[in-house]
Amino acid sequence: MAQEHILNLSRVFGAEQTENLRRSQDLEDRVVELYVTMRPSLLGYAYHVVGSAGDAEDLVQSAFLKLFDQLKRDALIQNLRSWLYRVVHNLAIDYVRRKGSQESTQAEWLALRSLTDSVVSAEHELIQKQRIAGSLKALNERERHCLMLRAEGLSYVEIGDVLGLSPKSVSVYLARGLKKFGGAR
Amino acid sequence: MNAPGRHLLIPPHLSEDHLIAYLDGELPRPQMDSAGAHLGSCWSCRSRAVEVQAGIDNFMRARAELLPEDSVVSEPRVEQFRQRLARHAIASEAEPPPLQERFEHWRSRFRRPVAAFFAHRQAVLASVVVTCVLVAMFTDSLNTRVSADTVLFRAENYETSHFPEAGKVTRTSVQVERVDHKNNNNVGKQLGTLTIVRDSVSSLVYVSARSASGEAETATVKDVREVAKPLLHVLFSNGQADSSLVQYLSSQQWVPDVSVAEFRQLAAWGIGGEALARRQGGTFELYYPFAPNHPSGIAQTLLRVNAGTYALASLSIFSREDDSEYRFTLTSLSAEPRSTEMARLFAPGESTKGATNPARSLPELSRPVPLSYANSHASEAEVSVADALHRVDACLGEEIYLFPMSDGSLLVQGLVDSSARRDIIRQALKSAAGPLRVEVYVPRELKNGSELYPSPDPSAPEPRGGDSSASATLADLSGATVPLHETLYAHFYKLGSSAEDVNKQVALFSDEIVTLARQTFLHAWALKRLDREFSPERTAGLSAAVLQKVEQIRRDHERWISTITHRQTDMLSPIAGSDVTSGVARAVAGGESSDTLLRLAQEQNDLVRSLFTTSPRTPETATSLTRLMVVLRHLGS
Repeated sequence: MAQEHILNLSRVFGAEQTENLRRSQDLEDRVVELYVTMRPSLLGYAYHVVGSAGDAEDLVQSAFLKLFDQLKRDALIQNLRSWLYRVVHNLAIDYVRRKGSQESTQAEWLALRSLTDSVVSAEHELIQKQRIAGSLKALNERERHCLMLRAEGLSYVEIGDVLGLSPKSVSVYLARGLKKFGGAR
Repeated sequence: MNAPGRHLLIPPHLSEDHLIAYLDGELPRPQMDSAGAHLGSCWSCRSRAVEVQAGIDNFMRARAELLPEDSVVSEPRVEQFRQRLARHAIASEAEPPPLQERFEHWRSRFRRPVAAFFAHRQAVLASVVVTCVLVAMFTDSLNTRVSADTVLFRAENYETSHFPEAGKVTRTSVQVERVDHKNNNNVGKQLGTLTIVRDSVSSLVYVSARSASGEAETATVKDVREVAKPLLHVLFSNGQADSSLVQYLSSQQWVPDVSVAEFRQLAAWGIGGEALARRQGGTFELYYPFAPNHPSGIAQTLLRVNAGTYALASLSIFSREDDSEYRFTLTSLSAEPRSTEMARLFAPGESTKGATNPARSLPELSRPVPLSYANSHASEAEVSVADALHRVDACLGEEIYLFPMSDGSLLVQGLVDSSARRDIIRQALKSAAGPLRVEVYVPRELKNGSELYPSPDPSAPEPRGGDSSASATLADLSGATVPLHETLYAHFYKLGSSAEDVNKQVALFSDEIVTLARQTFLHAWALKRLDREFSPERTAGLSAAVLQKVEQIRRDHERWISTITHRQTDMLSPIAGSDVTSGVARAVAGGESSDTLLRLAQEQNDLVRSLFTTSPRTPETATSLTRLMVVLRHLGS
């Protein structure tokens, strides 16, 4: 008797819509799974471009929202890895241009540390980081991006796919970047 | 005899990019082989290859150094993303597909006629425009409203995917309130509580209803519907039992449980119009209007669903008869192990219904769960714990939360930098009243952060100045200067000291002003948090003395904001010059809401950061400085 009162889902939404909703849920689960797998390496790359962990996380999540839209539309993605890196790269570049620069600074960092704990170790760490940041500064944008993507394990073809370069150019940028980086240290 | 080619006498060395491509295995096959052969024979190239490898090692070390420590709380990140994706998915469901796609769809259908008309380009263009307009009009592209059915579907999905768990018992606790809307008095009056325990093994259900006046009814049954009538009778024993609404609910054997199934039951009786869904902060509200003159006397039903997780929060029935809302709030829903005590509730042969049987009383909740602000009231103990936390500044940007729990106790949970800091917090909480658990961790104690509950106020945004700056990096700062460096330098130079001293003073000044700006922001943020935690709805039942305590905390923060911003103004006035400051009187505006305060505090923090920290971009320093002074005046008042 009671059964009659309970609305049949398909009757309310129509079978097609119910199916769509179910599909969407499955798709969400798949995207979350991919996110868990790919997050650390994408985050590493995004972080180097935008310079803040919070913003990098946000960009990486945005990339996966785009992936969701893309998959939902049944759009073709040939190489998922380079597709994700490309989206993260483009979002990060947009972000940096929009923001004007990386805002993180020595003063802020110091201020923050002094709010928390031992200033002595912080200073040491700071000097170390600053030195590395200086060496990276010697590279141009292309060289830095090529090196960072290679460090994440992408092949030359994939790097070229992300940055819009030929594999040959990638090898040239890598060689030049390594040389400059070594020279700056 | 021809002389052999030069390349045979002295084979060309590998270029840098060939070398690295060879090491990466990225050269085309034939070149790979020849490069390998060359390396085998050429010391010079082999030594350069070692150098390249050393360069790679160097780079990888440097890269690891710059990366932030892997976030200890990655588990909440995943959960946060899951929720963001769900919101995104629901928003994209409500939105029509992009225009281009609709056009493509349309074009593929009418490809042939389009081809025929293609010669008349203008006509085609015009028709495309008209079509787009029509498509946009008829598909309601501006409608981004969330569909009630979609939310309901997701809520059901949440319910079925989380409960019941095999081999466990599922306990649901529901609080029943009557909210009188007639006298514009929106405070709920407690009618009673209902506990439903479902056993996945025996598929029996234990129910227990208790009215505010102490009447009780417990039973173990196969189908809760069998006892719906006595349950309703107990819950509404305080004067409403004879109302036509309760009569109707009893006759339909409706179980006052907060679940999608029970909601559908209600809705199936007499929906008299289109459902309305809207978003209120972190909650979706789904209104289902009833047909006018429906025999139940129900005007409409309302379901509140958490917009992040799609868990149900409460179910309300609006009665036409006495113009009041009967609100059933889900205070806890949890799966528990089937302990022997618990199993006794469902022992065979004792499936009786009737009065309370002490031998079969319900075991205590094995693990209380945190409640959100939306479905709990603030207690005196909660205020005193918040006060204790406030005294040690644990409300200033630290990840410390105070949770009201389902069993009425309190939980302070969070993450701090050091164990010394934890000791301070623990010590401070010793004086707090009431049952309290303290779980404060330092990062190394957390495996993945799953031990931490999400904030009790899911809709509250995280402070922008807090989280992101905590993980600030130094990736790219060489060559950048502080925009106000020259002004500062000139200022301190005037006071007559050596160049080295001046530089030191400039650095100290910048550091202090940035630190102060952040402090102001954190106090404003704490005020905002306070407003949410002790909102008028949550503190309705508290005594004046307790409210006074909350007010005291609020005033503390306000005083700090005022003091710090005055200090900032004093520091900045000589820099900004008299023309900037003289025009702005120390006006006392007073009574700013915490939202305005937070917005202003955020703005001054951003301004200070843009003026006093290094960045290659040079903002309009003069206007920024003027604006900063104005904002500080506002905050200081």
